[in-house]
Amino acid sequence: MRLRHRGTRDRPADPPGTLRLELDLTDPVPPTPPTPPPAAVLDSPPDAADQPTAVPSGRHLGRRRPAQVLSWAALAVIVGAGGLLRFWNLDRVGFRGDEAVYAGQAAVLSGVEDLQRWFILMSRGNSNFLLYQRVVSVAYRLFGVSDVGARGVAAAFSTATIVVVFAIARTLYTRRAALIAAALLALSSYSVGLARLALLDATLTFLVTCAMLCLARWDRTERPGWLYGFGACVALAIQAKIVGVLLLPILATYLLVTRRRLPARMVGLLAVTFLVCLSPVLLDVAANAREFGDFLSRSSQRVSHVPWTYYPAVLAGREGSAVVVLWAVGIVAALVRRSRADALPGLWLGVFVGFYQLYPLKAFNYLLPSVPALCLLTARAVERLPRPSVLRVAATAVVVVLVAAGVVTHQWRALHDDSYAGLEEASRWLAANSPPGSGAMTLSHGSAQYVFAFYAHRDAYPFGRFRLATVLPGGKIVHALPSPRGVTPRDWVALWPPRLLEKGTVNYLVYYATSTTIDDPEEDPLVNTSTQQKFRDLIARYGGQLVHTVYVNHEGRAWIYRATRLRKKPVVTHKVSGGVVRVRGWGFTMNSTVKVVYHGRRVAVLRADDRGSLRVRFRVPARAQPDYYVVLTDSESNYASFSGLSTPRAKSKEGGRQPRTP
Amino acid sequence: MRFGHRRVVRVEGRHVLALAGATLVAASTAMALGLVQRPPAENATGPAAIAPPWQTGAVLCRDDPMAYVPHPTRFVVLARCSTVSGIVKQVRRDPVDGELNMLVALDQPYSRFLLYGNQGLLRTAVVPRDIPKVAVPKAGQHATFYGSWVLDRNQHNQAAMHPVWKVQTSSAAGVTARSAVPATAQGAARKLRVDLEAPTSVPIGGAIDVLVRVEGARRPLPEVNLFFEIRDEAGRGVQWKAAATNALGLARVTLVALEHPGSFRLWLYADRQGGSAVVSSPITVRRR
Repeated sequence: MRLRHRGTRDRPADPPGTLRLELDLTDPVPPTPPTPPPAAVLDSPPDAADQPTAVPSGRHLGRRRPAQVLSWAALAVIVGAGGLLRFWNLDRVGFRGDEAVYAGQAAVLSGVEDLQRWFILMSRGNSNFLLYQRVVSVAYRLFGVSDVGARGVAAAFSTATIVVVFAIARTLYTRRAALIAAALLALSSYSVGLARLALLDATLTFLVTCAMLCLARWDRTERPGWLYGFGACVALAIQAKIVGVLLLPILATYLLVTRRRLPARMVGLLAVTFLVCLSPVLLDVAANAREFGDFLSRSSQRVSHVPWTYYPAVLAGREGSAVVVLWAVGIVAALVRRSRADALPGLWLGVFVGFYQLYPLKAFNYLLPSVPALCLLTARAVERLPRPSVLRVAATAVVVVLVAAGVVTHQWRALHDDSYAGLEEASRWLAANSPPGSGAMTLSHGSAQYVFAFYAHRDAYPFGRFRLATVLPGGKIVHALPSPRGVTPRDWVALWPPRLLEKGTVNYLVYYATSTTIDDPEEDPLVNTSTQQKFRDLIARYGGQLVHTVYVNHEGRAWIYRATRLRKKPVVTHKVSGGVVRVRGWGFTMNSTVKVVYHGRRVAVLRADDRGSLRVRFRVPARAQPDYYVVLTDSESNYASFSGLSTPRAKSKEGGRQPRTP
Repeated sequence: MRFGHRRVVRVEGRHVLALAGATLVAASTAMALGLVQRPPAENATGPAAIAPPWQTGAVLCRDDPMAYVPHPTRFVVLARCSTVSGIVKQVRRDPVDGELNMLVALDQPYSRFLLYGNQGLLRTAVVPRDIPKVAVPKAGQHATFYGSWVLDRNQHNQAAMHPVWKVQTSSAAGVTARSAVPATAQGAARKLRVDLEAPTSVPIGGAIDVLVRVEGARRPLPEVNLFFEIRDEAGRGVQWKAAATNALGLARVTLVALEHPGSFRLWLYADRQGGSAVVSSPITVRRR
């Protein structure tokens, strides 16, 4: 096999010791008949405007100038459209949990000391360091802490990715393909939806795309500076999200596939560049090695119980089946074509998609770094649509209709995603109407409680099943306990919520509904999952009193309950001495009137304190019988009782201290 | 990965179009097959390989056996209707969900349907609505159970019969015929007097405070098993709760109206050894 490089004529002489492999997609040169054209010619359209930039030709400069101007103008329009979609109405819906965590960390980095109580400068999972948060902190220093600031940074990275994708396609393919790739990415509903969230994926995708641009440029120009740039981008990508390390196997595989060898000096400089750019992470890890190791080992056990079709379903749901099919066409066309130009996007796609498909933890946002590669391959396939005019028009129309079908409806959904609407409003209500020392608990997959910390500056705790450490207010880290049979821990369903409520640490319970449960009431009741049912039971058990409802578009989205009891059921103890019964009770409705009845006769009326506790004393009734009950009932009909009293003459011993509830 | 392999790959427009069409068809097929969840295999008798067959005659097979099962999503139905028999090892009323659970050592022909997680015993359950109608066997009795054969996702996918709506007891070794007389059936004719106080309209998210008084023979009855169920207009259960009356024959239960606005009905099933009652009350969940 011989693989010939397109731009061999521009390539400098090989340094000693370098093994060069030439890509050649042509047939072997027979003595006769004439040699077929080289792959570069086959792969490229005949017009000069479509020649790759790496092979400049002075003869065409005059003709290329207007085309270049048009190309830049088209790119500007595409980037403008992509930017508009990404930046428009960014503050429509408040943060979701993960966004609040990153924004809170950025706020701490920017010097907001208040938030240090709830946000630590370390990832609880195995996914990320703080590059994105540092960039956001700069924005916060300039414009102040807000949700728009954090999301604006992500949107800016995503918009910049369009330009980088254009540059890659311009390097690997043609100007037309570059414009198509940029347009596909600009209009990708999946990318737009994630660019509008203050998550790490847009930043990671930008850095991954930059790294691939460096690799492509190095491949074409042989200038080592591009390779060192690749090393720097990999280091930065890792700092954005640790999965950026996948760029290294991409490089290794690419070198293997193309049978290239790097001189030792170049490898050394690449490693130095990489390590220098990675040094903040290395120092951070060295300083907190134990915590990092702990977080990594525990969070790497997280597993998503989803079918293998999860990612195709996510893409189809967010992009539309038509766009997914178009992407599939791009992949199949690349596999059939087996061009060297497709090797880089192909490896890029294969490594990321393969990793996430095999990785047991799955999430809707993980595939974002793969989307530019999909756009590149698809653009390459679309660019090579039929030349005959009628067919070409028809095929173009088909493609446009497919893309439009995917774009319009799904773009609308991406722009109007209100999955977590109501959480911000609930937080702001709590900030205005709850005492500063109060605590809230909400349904969570690990992070939703931080929304309350970010917006309301209130202590907040999760309720749910997850395998992720929780940072308690004050910075204490609580890991989930190991669970038998490897099932997801139930610490934050069964263990912590009752404790925190009984200590009075949690005063408010916030139930919220995501948009998926709002869309179709028949199929998706507000309370559906087992965790939701248990949270509803918790509200009922602790006397949750509805104090506020957040309505979005006239539909209830978040419900704030104030716990009126510190226990599921009241308990009492009693003591008899000198003919007087002394009773202590806990867990009654706070500040409620409590009646004490002995065998149907009222013996006392009192008021429980603001923690639902009480103390009462009364004389042992005449003709008391050991099997008569003393019943204490509060205004909400919660009761506790005991028996065993007898007449003073009997000189009874201290009553049993065991609370009894018939 | 190999490139070229010494041949020209000439990709033309028609190839791309053909590829597009082929991929479209393939992707559509894959999505239809892979992304659409197929319902679990089930029929009246159930697949012979994974569930015991249904014995006709004693009782009718139910069209929708999960209709009155609390939290039905915890089960995967393998066979809508199935019949097994065996020795009852334990009978226990679950105070949390109000169900009557029975552990059964199955007879030899049925034991092959048990899974590893069952550890040789089948868990059968009668839902609160059916408890007054079912002859409850005692531990040690031999009985035949008619119900749905399911996998219990909350019990590591054990096989179970849930719900059971008919139990036929028969004498077995060491068990006298007298002990086989069903306790509930003995007093099935006795009725409980149940007063149910519940609001008729609550805002979405609000509390539904329910007060229940139960009397039998004109005096308050303690320890009456109560089971509350809220059903929507379509008859689908949306909320469940079990409780018991106190020494004064009273029970106060709070439910939370986290339901989409609409009309619902609160059902209360009360039973105590020797009697039962069913009452209901309409509830409207409103927006504000």
